[in-house]
Amino acid sequence: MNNIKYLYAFLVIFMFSCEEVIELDLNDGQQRLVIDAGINWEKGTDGKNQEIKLTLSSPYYQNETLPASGANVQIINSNNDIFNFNEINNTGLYTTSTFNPVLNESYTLEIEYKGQIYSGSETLIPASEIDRVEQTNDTGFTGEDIEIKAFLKDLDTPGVENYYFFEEYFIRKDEYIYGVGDDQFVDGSNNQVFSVNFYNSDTLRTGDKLRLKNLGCSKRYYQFMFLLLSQTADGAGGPFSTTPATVRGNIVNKSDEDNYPFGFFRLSETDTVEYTVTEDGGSQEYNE
Amino acid sequence: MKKHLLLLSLISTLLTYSQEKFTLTGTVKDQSSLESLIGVNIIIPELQTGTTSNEYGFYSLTLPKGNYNIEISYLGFESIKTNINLDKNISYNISLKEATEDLDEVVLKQNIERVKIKNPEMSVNTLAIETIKKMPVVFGEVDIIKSITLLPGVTNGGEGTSGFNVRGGAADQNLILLDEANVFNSSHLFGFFSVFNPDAIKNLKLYKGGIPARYGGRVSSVLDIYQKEGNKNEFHGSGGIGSISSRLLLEGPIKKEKGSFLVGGRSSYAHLFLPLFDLDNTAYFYDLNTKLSYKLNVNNSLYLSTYWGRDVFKIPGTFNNSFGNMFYNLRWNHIHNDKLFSNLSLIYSDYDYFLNLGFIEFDWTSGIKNFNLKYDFKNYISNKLKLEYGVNSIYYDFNPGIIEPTTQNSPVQPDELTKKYALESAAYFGADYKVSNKVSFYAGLRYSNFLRLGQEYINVYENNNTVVFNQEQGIYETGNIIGSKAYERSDVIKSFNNLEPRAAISYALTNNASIKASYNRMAQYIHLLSNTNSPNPLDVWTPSGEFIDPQLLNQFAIGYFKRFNNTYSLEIESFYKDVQNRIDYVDGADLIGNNAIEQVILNGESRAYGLEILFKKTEGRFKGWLSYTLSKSEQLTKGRTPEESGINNSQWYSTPYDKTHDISLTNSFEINKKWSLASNFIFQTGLAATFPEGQYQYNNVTVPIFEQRNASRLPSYHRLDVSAIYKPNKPNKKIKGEWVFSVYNVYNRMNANSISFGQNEDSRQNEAVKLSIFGVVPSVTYNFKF
Repeated sequence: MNNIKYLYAFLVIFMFSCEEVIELDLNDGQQRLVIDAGINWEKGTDGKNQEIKLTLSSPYYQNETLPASGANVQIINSNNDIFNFNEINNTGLYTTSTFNPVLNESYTLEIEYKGQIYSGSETLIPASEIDRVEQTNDTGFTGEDIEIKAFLKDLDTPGVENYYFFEEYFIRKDEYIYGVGDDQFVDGSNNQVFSVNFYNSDTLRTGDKLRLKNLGCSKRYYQFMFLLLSQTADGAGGPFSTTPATVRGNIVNKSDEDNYPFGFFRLSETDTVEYTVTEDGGSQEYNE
Repeated sequence: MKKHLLLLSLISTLLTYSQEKFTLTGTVKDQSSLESLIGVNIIIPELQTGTTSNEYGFYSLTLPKGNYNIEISYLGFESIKTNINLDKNISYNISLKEATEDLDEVVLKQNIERVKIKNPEMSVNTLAIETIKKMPVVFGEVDIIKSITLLPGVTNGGEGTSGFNVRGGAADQNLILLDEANVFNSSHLFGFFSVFNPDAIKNLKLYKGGIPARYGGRVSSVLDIYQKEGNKNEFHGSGGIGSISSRLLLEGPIKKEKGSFLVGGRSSYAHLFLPLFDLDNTAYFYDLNTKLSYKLNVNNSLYLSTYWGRDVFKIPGTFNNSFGNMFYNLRWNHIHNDKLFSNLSLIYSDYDYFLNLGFIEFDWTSGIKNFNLKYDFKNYISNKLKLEYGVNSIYYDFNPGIIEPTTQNSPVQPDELTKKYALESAAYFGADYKVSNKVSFYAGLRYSNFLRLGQEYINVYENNNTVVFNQEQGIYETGNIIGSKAYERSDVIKSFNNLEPRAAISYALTNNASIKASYNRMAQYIHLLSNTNSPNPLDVWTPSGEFIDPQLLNQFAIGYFKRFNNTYSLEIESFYKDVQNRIDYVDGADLIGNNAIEQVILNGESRAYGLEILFKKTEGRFKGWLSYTLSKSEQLTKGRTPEESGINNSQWYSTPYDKTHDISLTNSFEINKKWSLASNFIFQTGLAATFPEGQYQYNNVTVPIFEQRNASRLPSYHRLDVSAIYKPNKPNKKIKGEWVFSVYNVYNRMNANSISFGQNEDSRQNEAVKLSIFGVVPSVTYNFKF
């Protein structure tokens, strides 16, 4: 529903406006540790191989990402089993091959970086399988867009708050689209919950491959991602946007509260399918 | 000896009071149309006293017995000078003749827009519709709201934002009255145009401060707009063809000299041509104003005003959106006697919003309805004392949202957000008293009461904490719900009472200069939930209650007012105001369809202060004004405990419509009978904005890191607009036409409406993108009258 505001912004912009890239001097804020700790356990795999990426924040116009090297990274489960992540050649990328994923199990991430301890806890959230993907041509606001709709197999559980996190990867363009949702309007729906994205028909061509992924999502992650996406989406910063603010994740700095990190510690069961764009659209089932 | 003196003065006072007094009373009308005239000056030069006609053209003056000269004057009308022997109560109905537009002849014109020196009224701007119609505007669309933003202390959030901001107040803090009915959304097309059809409007008055006790319910300003009644003598029409919309207004007698009708319609029409380009999409707006007036007899008149306005956007199969205001208002004017005038209004008004999203297959409706009963009295005790008093009660029915799936396959479940009900009542009393030739004051008191009535259920929270602070992560989270309460519709969930004193005083330094001071306290019980920079049509109104307290305003203003030889005037005012219980939203608050708004709001305050200067030339062929505002508008939302961060780390931050400097120069020049020119120049400090101070990569997304809220500014805003009006009229021609040629933003300044930050699609480099709405916009409008 929040997208409506962007839609208004879109209508306004569509009607009268003009956009122009400008040079604008910006202030530089404090450099902080960025923790990209997303544990994905793809259905049907053992989920032992996992990675965590540590980087540093940089001035807004700076192009390259600085790796955060030399950290100690580990995840601990409720049995106090420790999974150590080792860095690959000063890349800021830390990996393990011994992770033990268990649905609904609680995990704690601990990172020691430059003498400070960062820590956060999260639960491994289950996810529904993707049932089918539907492609509709000549739709959307221009009437020329391609709509890609992915339906989940499981119905929304009534009476509980459910959250959804969806990733769509456009392989040829190396582009990711993310979406989060809650069940505010679909609680206990008898119909399938879906994700929907619109592509420009000039961009998405017949034969293009999309990789669609449904990821288990906690309430806290939904809130985090909702805010983060609303500040990075098209239309953000436009006439109907909310005032942006710092997005805080679920990891805290135990040594120095004010030197908090960015990023999130998330654990999700995932289901991934690949869809090939067809000339006339249609539907593809993924039921085994 | 002193005692004797006192006694003597007492006796002399008594003597003056026992002096025989009589009342002169009546109504003021336009001679040709019998339209009642508001704000006509009726002056007794000998006594240096006088009055003005009220909103219904009624006036009353009580004077000692005697023979008086009377001067009656009004903008655009020929003045009348007459002599009356007041030896009994006299009923005198005044008819004014429209001034011929012969510029060679010197016509004595008095201006309703002229500053009132000896009246305690301050912080008030009156604009005649004639003045508004001369201003150059974008697409040539005459716009009341855009015109008032040229006045000191009035601004908006930029082009394409709805509403307006008065003295640093929010858009939802303006009480907008059209023929006394509440207007909840003043914009068409998300703010490009206002909902008021200029042809149907008689005049408007904007109260920025010193607001009289008869108004209440909003804390920032009152925009009081009056529609025309319609010609009681002859059938007439007027209209115009513009680049965005066209207008037609018809008026005439139902029964000659007794009753009249007025029907005015306006609609955008670009959508009519869309099918030619094979586009099914449609976007349009329209509004329809009607009014019936009927004079039952000398002392009783009835008025029925209605308004319907709507915006529609449709993309077949995908998106269907429509929203609008409407109201009905039935009024009864009654003259009880030559000193007592009353008006009883029965008003129904609503705002509704409809949305259908084809691809998610659901309908969404929301809205607000209200019934309003008002009974207002004006009592003209003497030429020194005027009283006003009345009662007012509004019943609200809030529909925050109903969701219905439109197809069987839609995953959306039917749902209805909890409806809310409230009753807002008030009683007020005010007195205008002229103490001496130098000193006048106004004192008023409004008592307001707000009852939040029963609804289906209300959440109960652990420790009454609707929002909890997660100290470790530094964020606000929703409170823990431990149950719910159910109420009957007749139950009162919460009751609020407020006393709202109002006061104003003027001291005349000379006949042409005065100083004034005013104070007003006001309460606002209903709030527009909006956390975007500019309100949008989807925003819903919500009443005060268990979780939201009424907003309370204190405003002080002082001013210096001077007139120079009846042609120029200077008004300097300074104000300070603070509003308690201004709600703010936690970061990431999702307000749409939120049934528990209390989980995402925090209680804060706002304040604004500033200096306003208005220099005007009100007479002659060259007219205009220069207005300058220096101001600051801020908001503060502290953490409830020292551990909490509050919003923006518990520090004051600029509101999204804060502008330090705001200058506008508006003028018009009549070259000859056929041609006149007008221009506006505007310079404003750029709006407060929040820029990134860094970035990071997360999940393949580049995330900007934002600085403190509204800590930076957009580039300065300025533009020049010009227009020329051509009246090719031959005398005795039945249809009178005029051409309005205008150019908005003459030097094509690409003013920043907003700056957004993102990645360049090709280079994937971060960049800042400026969004500008209007560059140079030339337009032609044709207006006609018959």
